[in-house]
Order: sequence, then C-alpha cells, then structure tokens
Amino acid sequence: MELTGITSYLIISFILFLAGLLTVVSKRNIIGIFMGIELILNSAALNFAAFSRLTARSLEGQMVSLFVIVLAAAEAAIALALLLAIYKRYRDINADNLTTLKW
Amino acid sequence: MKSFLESYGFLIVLFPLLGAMVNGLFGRRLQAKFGEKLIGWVASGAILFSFLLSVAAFITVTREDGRAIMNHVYTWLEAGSLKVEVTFLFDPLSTLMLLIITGIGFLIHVYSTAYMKGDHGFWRYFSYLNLFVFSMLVLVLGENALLLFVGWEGVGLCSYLLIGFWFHEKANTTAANKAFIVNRVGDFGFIVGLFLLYWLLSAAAGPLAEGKSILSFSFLTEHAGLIKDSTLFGVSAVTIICLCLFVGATGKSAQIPLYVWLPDAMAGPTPVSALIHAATMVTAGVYMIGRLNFLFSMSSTALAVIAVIGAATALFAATMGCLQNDIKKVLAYSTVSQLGYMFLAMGVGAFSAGLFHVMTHAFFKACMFLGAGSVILGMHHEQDIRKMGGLRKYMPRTFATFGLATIAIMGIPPFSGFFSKDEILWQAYSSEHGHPVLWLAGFLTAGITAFYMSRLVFLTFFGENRRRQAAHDEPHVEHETHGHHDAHAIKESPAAITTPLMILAFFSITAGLAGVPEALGGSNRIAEFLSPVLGHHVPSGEHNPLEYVLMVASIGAALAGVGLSYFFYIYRPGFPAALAEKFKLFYKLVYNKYYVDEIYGAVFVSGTKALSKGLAFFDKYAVDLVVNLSGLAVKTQARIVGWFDARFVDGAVNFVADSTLALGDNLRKVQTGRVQAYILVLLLVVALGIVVKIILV
Repeated sequence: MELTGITSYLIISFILFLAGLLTVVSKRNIIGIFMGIELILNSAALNFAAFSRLTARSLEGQMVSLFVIVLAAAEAAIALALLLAIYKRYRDINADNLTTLKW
Repeated sequence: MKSFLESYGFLIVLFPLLGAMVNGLFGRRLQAKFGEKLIGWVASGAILFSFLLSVAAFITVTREDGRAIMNHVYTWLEAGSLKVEVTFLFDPLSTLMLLIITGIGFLIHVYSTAYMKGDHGFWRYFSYLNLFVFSMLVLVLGENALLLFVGWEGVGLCSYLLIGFWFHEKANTTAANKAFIVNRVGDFGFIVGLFLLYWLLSAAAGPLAEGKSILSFSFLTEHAGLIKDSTLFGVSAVTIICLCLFVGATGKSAQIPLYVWLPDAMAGPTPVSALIHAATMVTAGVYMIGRLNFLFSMSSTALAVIAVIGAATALFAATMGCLQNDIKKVLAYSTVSQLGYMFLAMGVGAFSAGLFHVMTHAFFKACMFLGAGSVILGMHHEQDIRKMGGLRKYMPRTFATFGLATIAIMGIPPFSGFFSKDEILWQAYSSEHGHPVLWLAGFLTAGITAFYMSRLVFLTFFGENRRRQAAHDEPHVEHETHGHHDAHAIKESPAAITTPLMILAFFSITAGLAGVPEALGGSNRIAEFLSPVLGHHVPSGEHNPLEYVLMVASIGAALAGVGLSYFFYIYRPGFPAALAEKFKLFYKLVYNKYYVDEIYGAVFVSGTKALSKGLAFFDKYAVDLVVNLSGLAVKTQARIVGWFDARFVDGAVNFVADSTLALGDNLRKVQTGRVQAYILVLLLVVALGIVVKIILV
C-alpha cells in the first residue's frame, strides 16, 4: 500500500477520529469526554485541510478548518463555563451521575 | 218536529245518575254540613223527577197507540260492522217497567229516609240506590241488547254494593260476593248468547246489516227470522241462543239453578230487598225475555225449558219458604217462587201474563218487604218470626198493609195477585206451549204460597208477643202502661214508612184491575196495551168453562192453604212441632233448603278449590320444574361460556398485553440513557458494516 498523497492524511485523520470516539465512549469524566470531542473535531479539520490542499485546489476547506478551530475554542469556553457551574452545584463531574436532564 | 220524548227522553235516565253522582261525590261533606235531610231530598227528588217524566212518557205512548218512540242520544261505538247507538226506547213494555221502577223506587226512597236514619253511610246508601235505579232504567230503556247488558251489569254491581252495604260484618260481604259471583255465572251465559246472536245474524243478514246497529231491538225484530233455520253443532241456533240468554235470566231472576244468591241477599238493608230483590232487578230476566219474545217464540224447545224451570222453581222455592224462620228469608223464597210463576208464563208463550205478574208482584212484594222492614224496625232489628207475634196491636198500619199484600199474593179475588196468577195458570194449562203438569205445579204452588204467607202473618201479627215472654217474662199490662218509656217498646213506624206502605197496599189491591180477563167480563187491558211489543192478543170469543173451574180450584187451593196454616199456627200451635218430629227426615231436608247450598258448596266451591289446588300442584311441580330445569340449563351453558371467555378470549387479550409488556420491559434495558452506550453501539454497527463490506467485496 502506498502512503502517498491524500491517503496518509486520511489514515491519521481516521486514527484521530477513532481515538476521539473511543475517548468519548470510555470516559466518565466530562472533561475527558470533551477532550475526545476535540480530537474528533480536529480529525475532521485535518480532513478539510488535506482535501482542500490536495484535491480541490482551493482555500475553502482550509477556511472551514479555521472555522472549526474557532468554533471548538468557543465551544470549549462555554462548555468549561458550564462545567464549572455544574461542579459548583453538584460537586461532581462524572457524566453517569449527572442525570437530572433525563427527566 | 220532534216530540219532547224523542228529544229529551234521556232525562229520565239522567236524573238518577245525577243524584247518584251528587250524593256519591259530595255526599259525605253534604251530610256533615247539612244533615241527612238534604241527602234524602236529593236522592228522592231525582227519582221523583224521573217518575213524573215517566208518567208523561207513559201517557205519550198510550196516545201514540203503542208506536215505539226513540230518543237517540249518541253513537256509542262504531267499528267495522259493529255499531252501537245509545238510544232509549219508549214503547208500552218499557214505559210499563218505567212506571214500576220509578214509582216503587220513589216510594222506597222515601221509606229509606226513615229506615236508614242515623246510619253513617246514609249518603253512600242513597248514592247506591240512585245508581241502581239508573242502571235499571238503562236496562229497561236501552234500545239495543248491548245497552240492556250495560244496565244488566249495572244492577248486578249495585246489588253487590247494597247487599254488602253493612260490610263490617263478614256474613254480609260473603252474601254480596255470592250474589255477585252467581250473577256473573248467569251473565256469562247472557253475553255468550249475545255473541252468538251477533255472529250469526251479521253473517245471515249480510248487506242488510250495512250501517245498521245489528243488536238494536228494531233490527232484531225485523230480521231475527233470518237465523231461524241456522244450526250450530246440529242443534237449532235459535235454541242455543235462547238458552244462553235464559242462563243469564236465571242468574238475574233467581231461577233454578242460580237462585241461591237471592235468599242470602237479604243481608242488605230491608228497603234494598224490597227494591232490588223484589220489585225491579229480579224482574230483569222476565223483561229481557219479554223484550226478545220474537226470538224465544222461534224456539219451542227453549220455551219448554223455561216453562219447566219456572214451574219447578215456583214449587221448589215455595216449599222452602214454608219452614224459614227469618221474616225476610220467607219473603225471599216467596220472591223466587213468584219469579218462577213469571218464567212459567214466559215459557208457555204468555208474555203479557208474565209481565202482568211482574207488575202486580212488584206492588205486593214491595209492600210486604217494606212491611217486614217496618216490623224489623219495630222489633229493634229482630228478624226471627218465632220471637214475634201479636204485632197487630202495636203496629196496626203495618199489619193492615202487610195483610192486604198477603191476600194479594195468595190470589184471593179481587186482589191483584188473583188476576195475574190466574192468567198464568190458565195459560199454563191452555196455551199451545202449555201442559196440565205445568198447571199442576202452579196450582200446588198457589196452595203452598197461601200456606207459608199466612203462616208468616199468623206468627208475626197474631197471638201473643213471644219476644217479651222469652226475654223479660214481664206482665203484658205493665208493658202497655210503660210502653212509651220502655226502650224496647214495639211501636208503629213513622209516617215516612207507613205512607209508602199504604200507597203500595192500595195498588196491591187495585193493580189487578188492569188485566181482568175476558172470562170475568174484563178486557185484559194490559195485554192489549202490551200487544205492540208482545204480539197480538187475540180475544177468544167463547169462554171455555174449564177456565172457571181452574179459577175456582186455585182459589180453593189458596183457601185450603190458609186454613191449614190457621190450624197449624193458631188453632193447634203445638201441632207443627209434633209433625216435624214425625217426619223428621223430610222436615230436616226442607228446613235446610234441600241442602242445595251445601251441595253447591261441595260441588262448585270445593270443586273449584280442588281444581285450583290441583292446578297449583301442577304449577308447582310441573311448570316450575320445566322453568327450573331450563333455568339450570341456561345457567350451566352460561358457566361454560363464562369459563371459555375467561380462559380463551380474555386469555388472548391478556397474552397480547402481557407479551407487549414483557417485550417493552426487556427493550427498556437497551435504552440506558447513557450517550456513550449509544455511541458505542453506533460505532460497533459501523464497524460491523465495514467488516461486512470488506468481506463481501
């Protein structure tokens, strides 16, 4: 198998995605889950940048990558703020225990 | 232009009805507020008005030469071929009855105002009495057989009400029930007769009957001949109809075998006995046969049956009257016996003679009953003639009137009973339907009648007063002096009682003059008068010398009866007892009225009871068994269905529900609410998809 061109990017992106996904599935700590989500987002952003550079011959994909980074930062800020509020209230950030929104 | 009678004839019927309604609806309050006087006035006044109108009607009919006058009031019912009109008929027959009913009725009303004084039910009594007169008038004036039947039932009802008037005593209500039930037996025959008549005649008349009231007497008179030859079960239909109607007559007019109610009916107040059970109601049967004479004339078989039953009743009841000790019972059997005479007359086709006897009998029997009432009042409600005696000294007016009426019933000339009875006896012998045996029965009855009636007079009015001897054993003189202060004193009744007695006694003497036979130089005016209804009276030119012989014979029989009773009860008072001792068995038989009541009790009453018991048994064990078994079967079936329902139908429903529940319960576990778990599943499925894809490709 030849690791040239787009393929190597895609493999890395895939590994990143899987790592993020497994993190999301296996972690009970909300911060851990968050980290997994960041990994998934980044694997997607990597894909955008790679396809933009190697196949589309345009800058649109790279722009979306920048958007994703900005979005992730904003999201992280809000999420961490929420986390602090949750922690203040429940003294706990274990996702399994925070079931109040279920009903 | 309509005559008064044609337009307003119904008023004769209406007045008593109004009287009955006023006294019946408001009587209690009226009596409490205005006293008995007003009640008496209303009731008597109503009858008086009727009587005056009746006299007018009678005069009109006489002037019209016997032409029937109809007063059509309204059409009662009209359904298919059945049409019944309420029409009142004024012809010689009905106006004659009208005079008897309202005339004697009025006297009895007046009499009752004194007799019933102080009774709590004064208003009730007069209301019934008026209602009775109303019913009787409907019976007599009704122009069709159905209207006659209405009156027929009405008098039965009123008779029941009045016999049981003092209903707080059980014996009276029993007597009332007996009268009603026995009458119902007769009425059943009567209405069956009417059904047959209607059925056969409407079939036979066909188009002739179109729009006509078939049961009206005018139609019947004209067209009854149509069914002359029809037969029913191989017997002449006319005979069956006549016999059915006659069964009704035996019930109402107390003939064998349905006479048993009349003696018991004496439980009612005495004026009631006079009005209902002597003068009017019991003559309804005779009137009915007279009214339908054209029908009865068509069947000589029916006539023969009537004659035989009449003669038998006359004789049979007369013998029973000989040994009765209750003054009213003697008169009751005498009434039955005299009614037998009337039916004998009807049966031999001497319709006018029968109705003549109805008239004379009404006067003297009413007089006797009212006299008996006066005696009972004087004796302070003692009815046993063995405890009376010597009353002629205390109650001269009652004695005189009672005596005259007695002579009239015995048939001593020239009193009224002689003419009517002799006419009947002569017809029984000589008419084409007659027979010497019938005459013999009537002849013997005449003798026996004289015997028991004079026995009654002798025991009641002659000799010494036995009540005093028995009860107080007090010297007679003392009674005379203290009589006025003694609560038990026997004194003459007031004028309201004696005046009607005197009027009735007068007619008992003179009423016979209306029918003096040709043989005695008269013209038999009553037969002449009734001829438009009863068929033509043919004056026989020559007189059979036998008629005189028979006349003398019957007078002789009457005198012999009186002589015998004089010998028994005045000359040798101990003799009857000795005789009774000698012929003990026969005496007991007659004394107990041939045990007819007992036989009826054993056969019909017990029979009915036994039948009911049998039916009850059948009901309980056969019908109930079937019912219970079917109940059980249904129950079992229901149980099976129920079990099936619970097991299978409900089971299926429950199974669906349960399995859905279980499925949900299990599936619920998948839905953990943990996002990670869902993602994991997602991941695994995608991974699986990829693997599958790789393998397949």
